[in-house]
Formats: sequence, structure tokens, C-alpha cells
Amino acid sequence: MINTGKTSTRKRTAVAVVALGLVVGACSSSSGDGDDAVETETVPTAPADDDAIVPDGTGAPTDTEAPDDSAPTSDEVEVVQSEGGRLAAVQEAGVIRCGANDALPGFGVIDSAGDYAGFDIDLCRAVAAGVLGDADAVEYVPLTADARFPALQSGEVDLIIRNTTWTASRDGGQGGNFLFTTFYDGQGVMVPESSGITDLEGLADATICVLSGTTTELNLSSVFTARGIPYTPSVYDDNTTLQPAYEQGQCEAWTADASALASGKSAIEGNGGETQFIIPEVISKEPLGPVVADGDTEWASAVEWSVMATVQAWEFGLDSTNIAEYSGDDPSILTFIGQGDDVASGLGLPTDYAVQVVSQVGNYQEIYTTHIEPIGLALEGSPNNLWTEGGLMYVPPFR
Amino acid sequence: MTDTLSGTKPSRPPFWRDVRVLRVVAQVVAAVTVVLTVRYLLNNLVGNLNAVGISTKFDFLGSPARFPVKDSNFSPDSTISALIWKGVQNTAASAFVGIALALVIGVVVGVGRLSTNWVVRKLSTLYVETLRNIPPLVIIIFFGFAIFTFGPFSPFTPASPPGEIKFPGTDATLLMYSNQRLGIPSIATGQNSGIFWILLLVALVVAGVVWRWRTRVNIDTGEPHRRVRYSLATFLGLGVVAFVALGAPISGSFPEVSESGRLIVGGLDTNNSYVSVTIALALYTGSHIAEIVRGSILAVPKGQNEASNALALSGFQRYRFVVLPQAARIAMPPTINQFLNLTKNTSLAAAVAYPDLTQVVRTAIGNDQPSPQMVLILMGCYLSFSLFISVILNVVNRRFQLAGR
Amino acid sequence: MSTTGESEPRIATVGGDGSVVVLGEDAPRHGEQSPREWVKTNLFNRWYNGVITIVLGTIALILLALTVRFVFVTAQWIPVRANLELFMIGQFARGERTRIVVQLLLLSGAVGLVVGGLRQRSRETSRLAGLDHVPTRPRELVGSYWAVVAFITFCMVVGVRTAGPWLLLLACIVAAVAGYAATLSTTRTPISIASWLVVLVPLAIAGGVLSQVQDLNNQGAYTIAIAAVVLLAAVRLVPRPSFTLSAGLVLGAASFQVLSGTHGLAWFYITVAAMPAVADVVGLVAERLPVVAGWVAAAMAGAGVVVLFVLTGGEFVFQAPEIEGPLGVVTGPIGSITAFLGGIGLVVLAAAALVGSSVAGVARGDVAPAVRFAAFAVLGVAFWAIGRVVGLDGLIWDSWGLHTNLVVAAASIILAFPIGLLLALGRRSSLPVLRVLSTAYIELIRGVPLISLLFIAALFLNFFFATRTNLPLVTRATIVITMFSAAYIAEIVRGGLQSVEKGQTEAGQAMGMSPAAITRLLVLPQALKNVIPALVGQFISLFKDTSLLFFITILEFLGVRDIIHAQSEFQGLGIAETLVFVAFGFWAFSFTMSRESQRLERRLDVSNR
Repeated sequence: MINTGKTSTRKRTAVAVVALGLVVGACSSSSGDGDDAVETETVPTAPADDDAIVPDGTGAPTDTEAPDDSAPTSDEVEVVQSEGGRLAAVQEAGVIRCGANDALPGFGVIDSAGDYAGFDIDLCRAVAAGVLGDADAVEYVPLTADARFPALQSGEVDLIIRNTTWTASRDGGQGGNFLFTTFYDGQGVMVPESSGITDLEGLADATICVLSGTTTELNLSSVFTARGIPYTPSVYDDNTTLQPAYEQGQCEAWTADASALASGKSAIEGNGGETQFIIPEVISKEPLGPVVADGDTEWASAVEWSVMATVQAWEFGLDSTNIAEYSGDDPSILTFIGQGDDVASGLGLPTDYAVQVVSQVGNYQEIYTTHIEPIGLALEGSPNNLWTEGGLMYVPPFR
Repeated sequence: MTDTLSGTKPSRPPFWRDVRVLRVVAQVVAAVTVVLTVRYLLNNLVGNLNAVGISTKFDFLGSPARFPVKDSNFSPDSTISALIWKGVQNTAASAFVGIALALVIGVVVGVGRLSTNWVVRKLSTLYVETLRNIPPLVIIIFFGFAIFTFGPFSPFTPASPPGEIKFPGTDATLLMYSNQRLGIPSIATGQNSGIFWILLLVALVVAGVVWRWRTRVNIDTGEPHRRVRYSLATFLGLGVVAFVALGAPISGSFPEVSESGRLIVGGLDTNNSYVSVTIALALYTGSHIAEIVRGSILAVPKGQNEASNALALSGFQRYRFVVLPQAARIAMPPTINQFLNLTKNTSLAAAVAYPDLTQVVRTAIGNDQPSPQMVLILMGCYLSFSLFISVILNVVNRRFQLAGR
Repeated sequence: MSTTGESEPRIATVGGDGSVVVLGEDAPRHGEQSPREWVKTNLFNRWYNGVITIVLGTIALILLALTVRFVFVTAQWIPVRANLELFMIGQFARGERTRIVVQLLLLSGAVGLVVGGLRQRSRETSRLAGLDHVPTRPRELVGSYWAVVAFITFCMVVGVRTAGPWLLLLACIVAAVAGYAATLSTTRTPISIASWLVVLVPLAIAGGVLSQVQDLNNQGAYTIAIAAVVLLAAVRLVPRPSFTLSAGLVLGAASFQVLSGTHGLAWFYITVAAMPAVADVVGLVAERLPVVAGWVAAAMAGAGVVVLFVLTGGEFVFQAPEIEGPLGVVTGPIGSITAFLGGIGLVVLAAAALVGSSVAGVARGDVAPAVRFAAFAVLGVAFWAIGRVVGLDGLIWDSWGLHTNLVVAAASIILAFPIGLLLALGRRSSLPVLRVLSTAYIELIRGVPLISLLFIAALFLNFFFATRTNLPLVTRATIVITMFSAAYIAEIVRGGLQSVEKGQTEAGQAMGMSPAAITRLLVLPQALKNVIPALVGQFISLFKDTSLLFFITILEFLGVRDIIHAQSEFQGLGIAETLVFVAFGFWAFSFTMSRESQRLERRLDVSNR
């Protein structure tokens, strides 16, 4: 730093230009050259036939045949992507790497002892209990909104359960495989009650606080643009800065998923702040659920059925206290807890996986009551209630 | 040995010990290694990206961004490249104003650290030692809180209009303030304004000519040059003449609250994010510049002061004509470095919701634009910024430095 | 703050009006003035200075009052108190806390040893030069360290409600004192015997503290701790500076092995740390050894390399490396590069070079290199075996709060130094290709903000590796921060190289030295000494930059705030307080380091060049 003055400035400039040129050259060659792409298709498999399949590099031998040689389909993406061995790899490693949120009240937080807790976290634990028989065999990888899909694509995480909205573009372009929707959310707008605003039209020209990198921004934009309401988005990186900004009136409204708004509302009111009003209009559908990488159906079903077991148990009236002691003779329940027909093996799961999931983590109702109700969202009357109660929680029969 | 002594051609060493050969070989090896490594890494990248179905093309630049940008006319239908350009503008706005402020703060505090006044000295030291040792990110968040969020200003809503300071005796607003938006007067252009700007430019050139003329007079005859007075008078005189001749082509524009009661119309308005990030970075960088200024003043040889005394220069003259020019020469290169650092640190603006280049790029990535290309563009933009600033300032620097240094 | 600036030699003071008042050593100090005079000259020497004094003084007093009121009256420190541990060690597994305790004790001991060793050396130098040894004045130390002490005190008073941390603090202090005492001279004075006792005390206290910790599940950590005490005793017996240095380095390396386990490359780090002592001993005995011993040593070096290769080669050459702990960072890049260059070939090449240079040395009649390599190989095998016996598993490096900030900064600067050195030499090279490549790298990296590189680490660095090694995020971040700092270090080192007078090079040429020897023996030692303060400055700025890890969800000191305010009880509560706490933490460490670098600068007398 001290010595830059001694640098010949012209030389420095010239070199930086060259450097810039190198970058541009590098990227254009990597994107433009057709033959480059052809050549590189072999790269992911060729130099590392010993352990390319095992993503954590433990070097453990895997007996799964990667199907890339056998099925030369026209879709190159599918071929390389379908490692197929994710379930085996996870079982070999003995731990699931779950992409999670670490700062969303109710869904994923870290307590003062450094442990994760929350609705999404419990679902990660449910998958671990189902697949590995141990709910604690989870390694949480906190992800920002923009790092979610790259992490999934690079295999850094085995699955994402991080309040991720199922959208067509993510299902398609981002290579995500969305599974059973575990939480039906919807985007809302919150304003201080004293402002007297009751609908979106009342927010013309207003500054609206929003968290970055989320679908929330796009929804806001499309709804307000469609109705011709001008507004200014104030995009914050974290709720730690956003919430006081909103409380102090730096933005007149706060838009987020209804669940996040509910937790913000209860926090603000609980701290003695102004009474808050959530505008009744829901501006988007936000189905949240687990996501795995495209192309590995075996792993996808294992995850999906582990998660759905929590709902199925709820429907059967089983919870963490009584599932292990079930002594009835309902054949479908017996099948579910692995004492009837062996259905689970076909999914690559242990026969008693449902018992493990429910006894170690709980059924859906228990998870919801523990984590979501404290932030101010009742299960009664919400779309997340069981289908028999008028909600949307409806899982395929386990038989 | 005897061959060499008798003047015959010296035998060349074998090629593996011949420096000339080795030099070439070493360079070829280095170049090939680097090229191969880069190629290997890029091949991996492209191969892996293709394997998971991420496009490695740049055609997404033409697709719509689908989201608006804070306090700008950027519409959601505009393209990603327009979005990046918007981010570049915002970054530049913050960087340039920040640089100017930082320079002022740095010089004032740097001189203050050497003041004879104990209070000034200690407060300057306190300021420098505090801000220099806190991460800029923390400082940005802190000033966002301290000035606006938890600061003295009130919100700006239809129910609570912003505070105003009027020009004394008039209805025109000098400053409009709230914890969210700030407004100051600006210049509104009317008819013939284009011609007026051109004339003003001409006046500037003429004033420059006058400057040189006075300088020459001073050198030739030794009479006082008074070039500031002369040039300023020329410029202002011509300006007033043009203004009157063109029939008031420009006028003042003053901030007012919009119809919706939520925006500022007229004047020049900005928001809390911009002010927080700019002031925070100016203060942070200012603390570094202050140290540079202090060091440079101390580095001016003592003999210079003594010589000034011998010439019976007054305190001000000594400082203005002897100490400061020399200190500035020493301070210039490291100060340029600090300007570059400030520019790069604007990338932390997202912490207070300022839509700088980094934030809009991140938002775009979060909304499903391909990350490798976006990050590459981001780096390219900052590299261009750095180049731009160092080119301009190095030209200035070269004029400043003594020949032979 | 009143100590600030007191200890600096004041050369001249320029008044606001431009008057230059020279305040040399013989200028009157305010201590000799009457208070009235002092006030007059320093506060009210001109009418406008009087005004400035009153206005600024009033503002300062108001700010001071507000600050005091905030800190002691209005602030809600509950979020900090409830989460102090989260701030300090983040998500470090609470069941493994023993390791942090042992690490802190070892580090304290290492610091004591290094400080003592430096003092030893400076006394030795003064004695040889026939000068009086000037000890460090306590006032200087207070001027540097009061900030960190204030921060620790603040944490303790505000956040700690149990005895454990106090005991730990006490134990750390004792360990540092013990390390220092171990370097004192060995004459059998009562003080010396007392210092012997001090060496033994930490063992007792460490045992006491450890018994407070419930999870006594890691015998390995204890083994390392006890070995450390033995080491201290050994240093006490052999009062050679090289032994002190080695012991300090070994303790420092061991303190990280407590976290990263004793497998992997642990043997390598420890062996390297032990080398100064080995080289010293070899230097003493080598001349007396017969040539035959050289041949034996060369054979041993060769055999050792083969054995090490067989023992460990499979671990880091043939498969993607498992990254364990902070020092495991090295294995990532090395593993990838070796895999890339064809692993085996490289190792064979290295072994051949090693054995070859031993043999060449012996053939010339110089036994020392062979013996050194032999000692290295034997020690390597020994440490490898010890590591196996201890069998301490590593922890996956994760988000560990303030610990992460400090370790990432330290690891990056250490790893970046050799790269930066090479880049600096490359930039000054007479070979155009090397020069252009180095310059391009340096300017490219310096032209972009660190955050853009961190995005690469967070988003797609894994895609650059063929094997999809999936390095942990903290490791990836450390890699890019290392790349980043290498460019800055290169510029610093280049400045140091330029500061070495040309006459030195010319003198070397006149002596018929080769260019490589001139660089290695003449230029570099002088250049590196000159850049030490600038390197400390770079470390400070790197430490501050680690706050950016917050943007990529690494739970470092600043990021912990976000986690805390997502906890339902602290949502929106005490937001300003946590920020002030974080700012205080960063400030305390940076301030102390910058004061230390100023002190170092004065000691090394760089400014006079």
C-alpha cells in the first residue's frame, strides 16, 4: 500500500488492461467455443473415477453403477446429473447435508448453544431419521437465498429445506426437483395500524421493505406493476436491519411471506412497539418444501416419503409418544409402521422408517405446534391443516 | 582458459547451463503452466456447469430483470444489462461523492492531528484511531442506524410530512429532511439551456486564458498576478451576460412534497441509504487519509521550515507555499490508493439497502440469473472502475510530481 | 484514550494557522509548565483557538455523556449476555469445548515462549554489540494492550455469570507466564527455582479447569496438553534461542492440531515447527561428523521419505483430501494440485530432489543437509506415529464466531505470504513473461472488491475442481481470501525489495554471487525486515475484512448478530447494542495490533530508512 507510488503508472495501467482482456477473453472462450463444450463433457467423470460419485471425498467405494455409460440419451444434462447414488452415498457417509436457513424465526434459527431449531430444521431431522435412523445425523449448511441452487447443483448439500418457493423456473432452469409441499405460505404486506392503510392502493409511492434475493421481490413487482401502483422497494440483506428500519418508519410497509410477517408482528408488538396490521390481501402463492437435485429419483422418493410420514402419522393419529407402542390392528397403520407389508424397502428406506421419523421428530402437527404457533400462526383454519379438517395437507396412501 | 586469454571465441556453456537458453525455457514453462492451469480450471467450470444444466452463455443479459430498483426510474421490464448499468451509476454516485468528502475530512483531520490546540489534537486522534480500526461494513451499518434509523429525524409519510428549512424570508425550501428522504435545491433547465451551458464552457475557457495571461504578467513584470480575482470576474461576468441575453435559461428548483405525500418532487432528492453509505465510507476512508496527510506533513524536511523562517514568510505563507505543496506530493500516491479502496468498499452498500452494483447483481442471482457470468461481470465492472480512477488520478499525480523524482 | 499518541516521539507540530512549533526532545513538556501556562498554550493561544476549544470541548463532553449513559444506563446487554459464547465460538460443538480450552492454554504458552525467546535474543544481540539492553517499558505495553484488556473485561463483566471463563482466563495468564518463565536464564537463583514451580502450576490449573468441563471425552487433547508442559520443561533445560523458538512454534501448531486432529498433515506441521531446533543442533555437530555418517544420513532421508510416502501418501495424494480444521486448509489446495500434476510423479520428484541434494552435499563433503533431511524424515515418521497413537479426530471447520475471524485472517496471511513473496519476485523479475503474469494477477485481484471473490467461493468455487471435492464453505472462503491477500502482500514485499539499496546488489555481484544467492542472502533478509510493520497492517485489514464473511452466511463475529436477532426472544431487541459490541470487539483487536505494529516499527527503526 505504501509503495504504490513507486509503481510506474503507465505500466500499471497497461497491465491492468491486459488483465481485463484476459478475463474477457477467458469468459468469451469458455462460452463461445463449441469444441470446448464438447471436450469438457467428459471432465466430470474422467479424471476421478475413484470417487467422483461420493461427493464428500471419503473415498469410500460405492457399489452403485453410475448409469452414464448405459443410457446415452439425447439429454446430456440428465446423463451426467443422474448420479443415482445419492441415497447410497448418504447412507455410506452416515450424515445428511441439509441446506438450511439460520435466521428465519420459526423455520430455522440457531440458539445460544449454537444448535439449529425450527420447522424446516425438524424436517431435515425427519429425513435423517427416515433414511439413517438417527435424527441428529444432519449437517446443516446455512445458505443465502442466492447460494441455494448453486449449492444444490454442486452437490454441496444433499437437499434444501429452506423456505424455498416452488416455482416453474426453479424446477426447470435451476435444476431443482421440488418435493411434497410442507408449508403453504403466501406473501402479504404489513403496515403499522396507525397509518390507516387498509389495501395495496393505499401504498402508492410508498417505500416498501423487502428481503433480498427472494421471490418476494418479483411478486411485489408483478402485482404492483399490474395494478399500476408506483412504489419503491428498499431491499435489505437481513431482518436484523430491516425490522428496525420498518419500526422507525423508514419504510411504510414490510412485505414478506405471511409466516415471516406474523413473527415480525408478534416481535414488534411484544417489544412494546406499534400495533401492526397485515393487509388481508395475499399477493402470491408460496408453496414451500424440500428440494433435491434433478435426476435422482431414488433419493427424491426417500426424502419425500420421509417428510410425508410426518403428515401420514398425523392423519393416523400417531405422534411421538404413541407410535412406538401402537397395538391396534388397523392394517394400513401396521403397514405404515413396518409391521405389515414391506413397502418401505421399495423406497430404499428401512421398514420402520416411519416409526423412527415420528418417534424422534414428531408428526406434522407436533412440529408445527412447536415452531410455528409461537410466532403467531395457528394451525386451525390455515391451509396447512389436514385435508380432513379443511386444509391442504394430503399425502398419497402408504400401501 | 587459455583460449579465452588468447582472444579466440569463448566456448559457449552447454545449453542446460546457458543463461540465455534457460531464460527462454523458464518463461515458456511458466506460460505453459499458467495457460494449462487456467484452461484446466475453466474446462472444469464449464463442464461442471453444463453437467448440471446451467447455461454458460451471456444471452440472459437481454432478458427482463422483472424487478424495480429503489428510487430510480428503472422499470421491471428493462433488461439485465440495463440493470447492471443502473448499478454502475449508483456505485459511481456513491464513490465520487464519497471520495470528495473523504478528501476534505482527511485533510482537515490530518492537519487537526498536528494542531497546537490540545482539544483539536486529541479529538482528531480519537476519530482516527476509532474509525480506522473498525470494519467498514460495521461502520456502514452503524451510521445507517445512528443517522437515520435511531437518529433525530422523523418519518416521511402522508401523516407526518418531512421537516423543512426555508431560505430566510422566502417560501423556497433549502433543505427537506426525514429519516428516509432528503431534498435540496437544484437547477431546473428551461429554454435555451443547451446554448447557455455551451456559453458557460466558453466563459470557462476564456477565464483560463485570463489566468495564463495574469501568470505571464506576473512572471514578466513581477507585479502581483491576482489571477483568481481576474479569472473569477471574467467567468462570472460572461456568465451573467449570457444568462441575461438568453432570457433566464435556468432557474432554481426547490424540493416539495409530492401529491401522494410520500415523495419529493423538484430539487435534488436522495434517500437515507445513499447518505448513510456515502458518509460512512467517507468517514472511514477519511480516517486513513488523515494519517497519510499527517505523515506527509511530518515528512517535509525541517530545513524547509527553517528556510521559510529565514525568508521571513508568515505562518500562513509558510504553510501555503512551502509545507503543503511538498506534503501533497508525498501524500498523493497513497491517497489515490485510498480512493480506490473507497470505490471497492461501496460494494458493502447492500447492508443499508443501497442498490449499488453488488446489490443489484446479488438480487439478480437470487432471482435465477446465472451466477458465474454475473459475478464475472461484477468483477469486470469494478476492475474498470479501479482502472478509470487510477488512470485519471495518475495523470494528476504525474503533473504534481517533481521531475526527476 | 488519553494514552493515545503519548508515546510517539513528536517531531513537529503544525498549528491550524500553519505555524510550525518544533517540539523536539528538549522542548518544554507540559509536565514542567504550570497548569495555567499549559492551558494557555494548548487551549487558548489565539482567540479562535479558544472558540474552537470551547465548541469542540462541549460537543466532546456531550458525546462522552451520551456514550456513558448508553453503555451503563440505557443499553440492554441481555442479547449479548445470553449469546456471548455464540459470539466467541459460534457453532463450535459444545461437547468439544475442551479442545478450545486446551487450544487457548497452548496458545498462551506459545505466546509466552515466543515473547520470552525474543527478549532472550534481543539481550543476546545487545550483549554482542556491547550495548545496554533497553527493556520494553510497561507504559508502552499498557498503551497497546489496554484495548483488548478492556474488551475482555467488558465481556466478562457484561456476559459472564459463571466461574468457568474466569478460571480459563486465569489459566491462560498462568500458561503465558509459565511459557515466559521457561525462557529465563538457568542460574540457580531463588527466582529461577520459583519459575520452575511456575512451569508446573499450569498443569495443576489446567487440570482444575478441565475437570470443570463436563465432557472429558478427549484423551487426545489432554495428551497434547501434557506434552506441552513437558516441552516447556525441556526448554527450561536447554536455554538455546532455537529451542525456545521451536517450542513456541510446536506449541502454536499443536494448539491448532487440538482442533484439526492428529491425522492428515499434522506430522508435517509439527516437524516443520521443530526444524529450527534440529537445524541448530545439526549445525553444531555436523562438522565433527565423518563423511560416512553423511552417507548413512542420506540413506535414512531416502528411506524416511519412502516410509512417509507409504504411510501417508495414500491419504493426500490418491484421493480428494478430507479437510480437517484450520490447518487442513493447506491440504485442500495441495491435494488438488498434486492430484492435478499427477500426484505420484510429484512426490517421486520431491523425494529424488531431497535425496539427490543430500547425496550431492555429502559428495562435496558437506554433511549438514543430509543430516538435516534425515532428522526431518525421522522426526516426521516419529510424529506421524505419535499422531496415530494419540488418535485425536479432527473437527470439520465451521462457523466459529470470533474464532473464525481470527483464524481465517491468520491462516490467510500465513498461506498468502509465500505466494505473495513469489509474486513480488516475479513482478521484479527480468523475465518478461513472469513479470507480466505476476503483474496481471496482482492488478486483477487488487482491482476487484473482496466480496466479489467471496461470491465465487460461496457460489461456484466447487465447480472449478474436477472431482467435486466440496470443500467446506469456510475453507473455500479462506482459499479466496488467501488469493486476495497474496496480491496485497506481493505489493508490500515489492516495496520492501525496492527499499533495499542498489549498492547491496552490486556488492553481491562484486563478490561473484549468483543472482539467486544475492536475492536470498542479501536482498530478502533486509527487505523482509522492512516490511514487517506493513504486514501487520495487512493482517489488521484482513481481520477487518473477515467481517464480509457475514455476506456468505459464515457465522463470524458480525454474522452472529443476525442469528441472535432471529431468536424469538431477541427479535428486534438490543439491535444497536449488539452492533456496538461487535464494533468494540473488532476495534479492540485492530487497535492493539496497530499499536503493536507502530511499536515494532520504532523498534526495527524502519522509518529512518
